[in-house]
Amino acid sequence: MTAQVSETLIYHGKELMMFSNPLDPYLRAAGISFESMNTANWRGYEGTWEIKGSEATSEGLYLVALEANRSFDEIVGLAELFPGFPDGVFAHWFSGEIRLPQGELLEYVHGGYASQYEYDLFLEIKKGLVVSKRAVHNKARS
Amino acid sequence: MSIYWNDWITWLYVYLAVGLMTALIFYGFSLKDRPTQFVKDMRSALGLGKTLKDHLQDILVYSIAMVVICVGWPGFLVWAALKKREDRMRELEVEEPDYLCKSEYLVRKVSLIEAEQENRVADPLGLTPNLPFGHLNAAWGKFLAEFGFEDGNELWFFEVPKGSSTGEYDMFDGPISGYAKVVNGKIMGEFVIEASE
Repeated sequence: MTAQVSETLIYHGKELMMFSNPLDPYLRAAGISFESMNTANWRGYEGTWEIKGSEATSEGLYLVALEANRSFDEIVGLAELFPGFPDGVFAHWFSGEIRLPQGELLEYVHGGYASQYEYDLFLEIKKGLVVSKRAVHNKARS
Repeated sequence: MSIYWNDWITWLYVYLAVGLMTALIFYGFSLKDRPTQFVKDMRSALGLGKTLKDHLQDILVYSIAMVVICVGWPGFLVWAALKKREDRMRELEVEEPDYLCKSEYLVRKVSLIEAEQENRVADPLGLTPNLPFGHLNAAWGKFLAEFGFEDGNELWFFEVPKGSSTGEYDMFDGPISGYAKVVNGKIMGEFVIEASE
């Protein structure tokens, strides 16, 4: 499988690559699927996410922009998938870890999200809420 | 010509006649599965057409099969019935939807009201609609519409622990939870409210 184009996460004002697809469980539950336009994007969409809220109280994962191929000639955005939520859609359907690779590319892997970067920041999400964070310093595989 | 029913030879002829009829019927059925002329032409074009040796082999195999069926037709009929049953079971397995929820993941039976009360969304910014299951409310409505509230249909909360085997492709590796439609102990539908990817 070809390396997949990442999602984007805005975190503390910085745009980061996100090697996770938190929209997938929603699409499955809602019975929605998109068309893949190329082998670098089998899911057929690219989403921009943001961690919003206050670290002191609670932070949540929000979908703030979307570009999805409903068909080969029809691209839909956030307003079509979630009408009436221009400020973001809280990902309450998602529980799991999202991976945010950062730093130098140590090893390119031609498949999925398998490429290795210098650092990985992991955010543990529970029903859309950030519950913990951890960072991993990666070393090049010899 | 008179028939001597107390003669074993007569009964042997009857037995073999039934066997011959059985063999001919099954031969007729086998003709239905033969490739069409189009497929034969395609195979010939690809150099995969049948040779004289293949034809002779077919004749030999069919002749042996006819003799075996004529002689052992009761056993053949039992084998054919068992095979048909097995094929049907396999078809049913393929047709069965591949649910993430398995019976071992069912946690507790719930009422519709309980399910909706338990699933108000805690959104830090308060942007999510104040409806049961938030943005999944429409999908929940669709699940309920297909649920059918006849006697015997039960709604169960389920939880799949992280790392468990789920679905045909194990596509979600995180914890998964949701509600399942259970009829006579069998999962007949599911609504996933929380999953990883």
